[in-house]
Amino acid sequence: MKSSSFSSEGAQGASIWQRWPALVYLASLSTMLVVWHAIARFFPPALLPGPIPVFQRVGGIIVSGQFVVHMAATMLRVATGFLSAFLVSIGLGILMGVNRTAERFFEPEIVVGLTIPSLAWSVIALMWFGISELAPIFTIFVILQPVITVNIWQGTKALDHEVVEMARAFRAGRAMVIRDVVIPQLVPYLLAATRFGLSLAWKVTVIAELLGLSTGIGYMIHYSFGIFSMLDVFAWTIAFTLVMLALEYGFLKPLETRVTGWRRAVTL
Amino acid sequence: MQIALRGIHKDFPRENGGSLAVLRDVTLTVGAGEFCCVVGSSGCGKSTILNIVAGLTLPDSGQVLVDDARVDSSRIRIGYVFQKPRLLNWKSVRENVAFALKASGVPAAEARARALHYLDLVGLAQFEHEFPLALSGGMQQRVAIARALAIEPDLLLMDEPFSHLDELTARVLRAELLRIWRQARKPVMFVTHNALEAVYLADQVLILSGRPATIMKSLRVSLPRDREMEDPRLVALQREILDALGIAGASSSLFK
Repeated sequence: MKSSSFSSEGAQGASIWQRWPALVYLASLSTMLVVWHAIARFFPPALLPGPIPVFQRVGGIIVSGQFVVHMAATMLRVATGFLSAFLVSIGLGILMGVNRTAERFFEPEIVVGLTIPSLAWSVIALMWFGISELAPIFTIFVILQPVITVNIWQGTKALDHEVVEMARAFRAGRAMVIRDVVIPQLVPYLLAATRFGLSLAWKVTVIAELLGLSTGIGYMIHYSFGIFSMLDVFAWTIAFTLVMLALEYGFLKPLETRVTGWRRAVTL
Repeated sequence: MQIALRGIHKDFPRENGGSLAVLRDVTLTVGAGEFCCVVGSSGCGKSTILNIVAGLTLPDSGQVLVDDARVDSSRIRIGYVFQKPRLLNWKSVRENVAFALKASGVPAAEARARALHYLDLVGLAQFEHEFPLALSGGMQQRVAIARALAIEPDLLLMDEPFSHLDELTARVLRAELLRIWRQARKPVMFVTHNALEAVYLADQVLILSGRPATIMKSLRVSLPRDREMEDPRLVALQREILDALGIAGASSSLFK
């Protein structure tokens, strides 16, 4: 029997919204734009520009090549900071999940790390490292590391030891246990950490860029503020958001659907 | 191949610092090709015995002997069916069975072929591509049984494998298990709290006392196969077990 016959979606007689989930997303986005357009009509464009001029401006900064330059600068910082935090957090999170003493030792560090405001870290990093690439990358690292570690730590603690025992009873080697039994259980936590970490990373980068750098999306938003152009503030923000949305729906969501497909099965 | 336990003691540490005595001087022998049932009340340490035989738990003292220690017990192939299916929910049914085969050193291609054969044996070949969570509890347990049989074990360990199933499914699987066992002729250690199930399946029934568990009584069931569960001789043997467990006069339906 094919798996589609067990699928919960696509049942006969389901409404059009259930059969075409993409339509719901489309409707949601359209509603946002319409509401924005309607509200903008009551305000001067210098305070709240409508979607039409904003998207024209987005087209403008993309065509001029400016967007690519600043986007690349921001993404490079996000990627470097995120990846280094991710790697350290995987090691630390797993260690805390399997070792009581390590858990007790690092728990306060996590709590302190989660409490310090990201603005404080940005200022500290800029004062330490000056106007350099190191400042935003360091800031992203210290802010993301406790957040991602918490995810991996919880994931490790939630591991199902009964299936690990099963694998040992059938004489599976250590490499096989890790590859086929442990990692698949951690994948949902790794994905959640990636999604949350990336969205946090870009917000942090923008703050650092706004405070003291001369490239990046945050810098351009700050620059637009300097010339008091609300149109530019909106355009840069939205252009960046569109890239993040593309990453989410073009990459993370499909990946998640693929690797956690087994969860959606329904009981006979 | 014969499996023997000699003077096994096991305590488990408790949270409050003390220890819980689980097994006291457990000595038993499962002969070559023998079907041995271990009966005892819930929580008396039956599963611990199987875990010690499988090498998952180390005894505090005592020995597990394979053919009088002539074989290293970590070298023998053990098929283990747990109380719960314990499947890898992120792998297809067929890959679950193939997993155990690969773990015991069978090359991947052969593992997948043999997996399908054993799924067929438990009547699940058509579900090979499904994920475990798409199957009912009974079907999942059949996958677990196929997994244990597929590695063609030297010793089959079963820990109340049918206790979560409805009686009808359990009956079918018991008969099926006996059929496969009579072909393979490998020793089986089958833990259950169901006295009638024990006498229906076993050549030898070992009755455990409550915690700390020790073997109170050993019973030979020499009735010929195929047995009928309603056979009065089996019911009499069941009575004997229940009496030994101290449930004289209690309704046997409690132990269906």
